[in-house]
Amino acid sequence: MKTKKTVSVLYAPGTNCEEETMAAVELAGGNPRLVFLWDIYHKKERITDCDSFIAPGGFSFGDHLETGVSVATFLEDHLGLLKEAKVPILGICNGDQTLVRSGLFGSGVAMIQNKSKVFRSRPSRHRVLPSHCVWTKGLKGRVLSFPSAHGYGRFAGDGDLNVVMEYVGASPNGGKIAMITDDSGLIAVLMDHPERPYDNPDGQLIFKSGMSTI
Amino acid sequence: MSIHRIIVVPKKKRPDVFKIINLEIDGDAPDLSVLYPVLANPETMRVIDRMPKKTAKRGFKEVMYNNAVIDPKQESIIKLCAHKGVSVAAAKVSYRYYGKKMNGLYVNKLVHTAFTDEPILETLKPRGVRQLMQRYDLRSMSDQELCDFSEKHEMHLSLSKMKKLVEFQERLKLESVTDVLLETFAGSWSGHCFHDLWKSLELFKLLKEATEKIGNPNLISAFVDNAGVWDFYDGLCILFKLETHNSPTQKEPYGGQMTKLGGVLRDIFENGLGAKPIGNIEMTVIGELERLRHPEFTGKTLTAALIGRETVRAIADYGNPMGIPMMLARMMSHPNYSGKPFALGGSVGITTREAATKGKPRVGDIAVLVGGKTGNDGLHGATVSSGGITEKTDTGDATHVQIGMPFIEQLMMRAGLELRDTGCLSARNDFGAHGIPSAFGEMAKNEDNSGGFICNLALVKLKCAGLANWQIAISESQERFAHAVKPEKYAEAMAIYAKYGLEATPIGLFTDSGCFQMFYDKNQEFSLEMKMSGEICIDVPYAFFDECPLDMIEVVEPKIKTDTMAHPKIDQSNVMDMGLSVVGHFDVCNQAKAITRYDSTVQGITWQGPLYGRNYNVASSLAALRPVYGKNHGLTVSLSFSPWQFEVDPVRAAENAMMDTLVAQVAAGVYPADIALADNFYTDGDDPEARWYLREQVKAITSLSIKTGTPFMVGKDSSSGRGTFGGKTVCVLPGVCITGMGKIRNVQKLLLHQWKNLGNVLMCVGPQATQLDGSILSSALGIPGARLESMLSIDPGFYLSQLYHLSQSGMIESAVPINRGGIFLRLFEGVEASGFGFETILCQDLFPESFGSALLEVKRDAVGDLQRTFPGIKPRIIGTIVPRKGITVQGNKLNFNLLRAAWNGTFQQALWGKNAMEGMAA
Repeated sequence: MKTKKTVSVLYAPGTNCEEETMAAVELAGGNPRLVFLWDIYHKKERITDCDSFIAPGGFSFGDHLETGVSVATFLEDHLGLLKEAKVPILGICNGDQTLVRSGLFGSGVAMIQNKSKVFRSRPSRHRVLPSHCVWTKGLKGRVLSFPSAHGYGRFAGDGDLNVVMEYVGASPNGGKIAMITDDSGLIAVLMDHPERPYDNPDGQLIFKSGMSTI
Repeated sequence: MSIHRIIVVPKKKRPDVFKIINLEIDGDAPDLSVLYPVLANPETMRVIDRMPKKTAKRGFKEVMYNNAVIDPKQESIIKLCAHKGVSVAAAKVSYRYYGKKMNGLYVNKLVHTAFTDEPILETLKPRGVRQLMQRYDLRSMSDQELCDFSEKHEMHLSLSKMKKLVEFQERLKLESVTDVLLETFAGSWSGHCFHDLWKSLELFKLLKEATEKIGNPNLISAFVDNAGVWDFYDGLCILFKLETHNSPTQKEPYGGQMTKLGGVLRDIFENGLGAKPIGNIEMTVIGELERLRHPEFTGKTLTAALIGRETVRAIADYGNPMGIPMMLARMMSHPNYSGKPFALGGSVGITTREAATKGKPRVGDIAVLVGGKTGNDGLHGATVSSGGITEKTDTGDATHVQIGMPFIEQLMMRAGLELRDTGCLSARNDFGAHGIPSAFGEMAKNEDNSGGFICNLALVKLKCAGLANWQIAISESQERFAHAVKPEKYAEAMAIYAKYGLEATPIGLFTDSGCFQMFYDKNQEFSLEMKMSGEICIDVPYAFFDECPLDMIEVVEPKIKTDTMAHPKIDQSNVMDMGLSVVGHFDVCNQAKAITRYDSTVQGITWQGPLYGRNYNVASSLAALRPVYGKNHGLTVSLSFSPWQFEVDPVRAAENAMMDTLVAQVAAGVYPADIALADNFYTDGDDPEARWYLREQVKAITSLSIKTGTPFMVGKDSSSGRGTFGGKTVCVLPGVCITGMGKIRNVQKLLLHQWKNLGNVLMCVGPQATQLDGSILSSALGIPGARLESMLSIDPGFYLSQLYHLSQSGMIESAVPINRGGIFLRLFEGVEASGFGFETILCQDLFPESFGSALLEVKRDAVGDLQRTFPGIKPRIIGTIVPRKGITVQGNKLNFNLLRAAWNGTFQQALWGKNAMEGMAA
């Protein structure tokens, strides 16, 4: 039974940002609920039993093969159902890598290693561009500050992307793009962390924009 | 069984690195192409059939974990392949480098194999034939034979301890004793576990008595559990622990540093009835970057640059997946750490008041081994680290090194909290050094030696075949946890382990036999009526463990240094050069290149992390967290250690480190009595003079602890501070790192470091040094120094109290402790972080290092008021914050860009520069 504004926050072995993501969602007016990958995989839980779905950051399955590939593979029969059900989805950091690798954005896009070839944890600034993304409604032109913490965070590929945000000043990964959305504007991914800290006023704008959609 | 190699390369034309996923598959080879889209991102990678041929001109190196070591990636690869319908028995990932790509490639023989021809792989599983349990009749051995026996079996026990084992054999009326019994006592009585140096000198007693005497109401648990526990707010408690991993880091820096962090995190998880780690601390002192003092080491041991690089890689690779923010991080270099580094790691945590104190197993509780499987990694980890490192142990088999797997430990972080909150456990412990006897054995031992423990080694899940009983017993495989599960909660606990994908195996029971019992019987399943059967490995009364003989320890007071050192006079003619020497020094330069590789914002609770400033590149002296969502209560951490001070005067340096740690917190607004301390001593325990310094250091810091009301509540001592290479032995300085953990009701009130307003005045307060002995500048100039001035000229209790009231007065807008690099470094950092300029009236006095003093940004109109109200802490005007970026010394504007270039260039050059990469391993 779907309850209003229920936000599923995914936990896969190796996820490590679920708590601050849930705290940020709650502060933004959502009702966060932790859902386990294995429960979805073993069909104990339906992935679409929510109003919105967030794949948070971490090192799912230790990023042992490639970033995000394990969750994308184990959930290959499930993530598409969310798209069909028009559920707003946000992928943050490892969640971004997972959703891009799952093919939700089609082919022609991938997350590759930072130009520096190392993990970077530092403050970053992002300018919101005009777009139809439900996670940045009414924020066009704003410059939002929240930190980066990733090693494979550069958008690459020959597909044309709906860019939602770009870096202002130093980019942590050598790329310009900071956030993209799909053609429907419901699915968006970004590498940096609007949930850090959990009450980050700039980050809250993104979560509140998403909550206002559902 | 067959081995299949799937070669994955980047899509670009001439790939430079080849990744090979080696899969061992039982039975017929299935169609592996179904795995390709999973193993190689179609957007960026491709699978190829074969490798470029090795040519005369272009060789290659293919590196993979050697057979003794399970590849940390194996489990994930097996699960993914199974999802795609391919059953894989074992997996290893190897990387092949051709031509120039091989340059700078570091391969440690202890854990890696480097093929230079096409590899012929028989199996990916560790091989081994299970050795039978060995038995020895010690009664028939002479004193010399007992000593030789101890060395040959790497027990590192003295003659008196070996003779005590002979006595046990007689008291137990045994014809012989097993290798399991000998290894058990060798570990339990090693310096690493028994701390006999400290017990002989009664140093533990001094620290405990001082802490009891202070009677600080915040103290909840000190010196009895894995960590020290301190009251926080709203029924919560905070805890912290720091540990060293010096020997493993010297031998295999990447594995040693990873498992250093993994080990200290487990101390937090497994403290009391469970806690959550919420912050990490990293400090490593490497040897000299150029072999000036110890040229004999060239080519004989790993270079300091390599240990430094591998340290950065390891701390990132372990800390980041764990999802615990880095709070403070610093690397330093000193010649005395060329034989063995000072590899210190720490963690802070939070828990409920109910789970804060050490649990006690009840009779009938089930001993459950949780987490990673048991292998031959880390064997003799305890005895080797107590026996000092020699070339012999360097060439030992791959078993001395521990392999870190953060992915498994990260699962325990969450399961551990659910086990706590559901009350499943009576007690819990971390698998640190010395395996089952330490983890489960110590948990079952009561003060009066009652309690008891029995376990069947055959039930332990192994990750490699052929482990002898003693190897299973004392293995130090990482990411393992010892839990005493209540029988009535057993099903619930097993469900929690399964939910988080953690392996959990019941291997024994807690009893009231008063004995420590281990046996090996494949035919006895686990049951609540477990009895000794099969091969009896050890069955001894707990009281035996307390009968470790304490050998007489010789302590010799060193001769008083009478030489005086001439230091340069500093004036307008050389102040720029002196400034360059300070900011360009390795210990205080810009280390953001390493620190930004550590995630410092995960968990979303960071208030002040390891770096600050407009360019996020200046190192913090104080870190702060807001651990509870929705609350502004703050947890603060500070740390102090400078090797150059300990080289000059180890006892005064200990006092200075303690005052520096305390002042970093109090100047920021933390109430003195809300600060708890940790001590991490690192000494060459074999040197009688170093023992004298150790004793005097403990006396000095316990006296200061009482005067300031700030108790020590956790600590560790490492006494194996020496390394011998090329026939030369280099000993570490008799040193102690002091760490402080404080609390503050509203973290927004903290006075942080960054300068706030133009026109404000910088004043320093507290005792002032006048000499350069033991300073960063004297180290850069190659003038070590003769003695340190006392920084206790103002009564410490009075001084901290006044400093606290000053912090609450509203006169101060930012605060930073003065220590390494003196006032000059703080001025440079202040300008770099704020973008303002600074004009100072001082010159010579900018360079001495007044550990325990503070540099405060005072509101322009409050200077007179401050001088009148707080005369007792010797306030002194340093200069004024001005608009134009740069530093002006007595009217002379220094070249700030030159200073900045020196400050920015050192770290990169030292660790990743051309010489650093060429000066490879032995």
